[in-house]
Amino acid sequence: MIYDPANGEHTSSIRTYHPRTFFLMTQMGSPMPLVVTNIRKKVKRLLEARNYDLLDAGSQVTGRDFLNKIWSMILSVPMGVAIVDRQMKPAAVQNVFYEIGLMQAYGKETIVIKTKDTEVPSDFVRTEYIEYSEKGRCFSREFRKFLKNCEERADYYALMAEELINKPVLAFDYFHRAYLITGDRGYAKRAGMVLSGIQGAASCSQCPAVERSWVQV
Amino acid sequence: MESKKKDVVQVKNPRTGHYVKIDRTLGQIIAHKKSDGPFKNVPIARKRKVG
Repeated sequence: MIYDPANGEHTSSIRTYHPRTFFLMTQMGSPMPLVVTNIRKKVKRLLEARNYDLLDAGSQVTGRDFLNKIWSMILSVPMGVAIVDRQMKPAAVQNVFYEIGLMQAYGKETIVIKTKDTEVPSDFVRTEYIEYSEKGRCFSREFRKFLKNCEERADYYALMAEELINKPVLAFDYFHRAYLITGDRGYAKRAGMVLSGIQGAASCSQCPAVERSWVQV
Repeated sequence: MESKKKDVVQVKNPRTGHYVKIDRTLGQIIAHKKSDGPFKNVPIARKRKVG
């Protein structure tokens, strides 16, 4: 079940998913700290090298409610990367952590990139982070490690989906997560089988309609 | 008394590095291991080909 944050109602609108895409959470307006700009550029390069796309709040102009736009983008992607620096506006940092919370609640993979001496709220002390330093060389290595771990998570979700096939709602959702991370249509096809109850899977008539748009039946 | 054997497997969660125990019959996660290594006497499920 997905609830619209603006009106609290259940939503079943068809959305466009963005497999193999990261949602970037950081300050959008100026004055942008230079280090944030540098991290963004580096992250973009690292993602492109592995065929991942990057979306941020400025990637789409809908002319409608801003929170709804952010929320919809978060639902459409598998992963999120947050950049925080102590020179950022406090309101921007607060938004970033709200968005990370949303992503975690929806089962998305998240990583925080922070500069030295940047504090994170205590609720996020268990959230993984990578420390960025202009001089340090380990940032790229650590970020690649995170990407590799995300790929392993996709394999894990696919395996979990197969093992949980007798609980179609769960299996369907795990296939969805595997599909979004990898973009592998095979998972969409398998989810379609879960929906229709073929190949040993029970029928998933109770699966929320909102998630059906991506399946291959 | 004959007890019915459960169809239980385990899978390693790459996010935590810990194993998760699954009851296939119920389609349910039944335990999360807190320490390193797999559960004893529980088969480890392997990846299958999709498509």
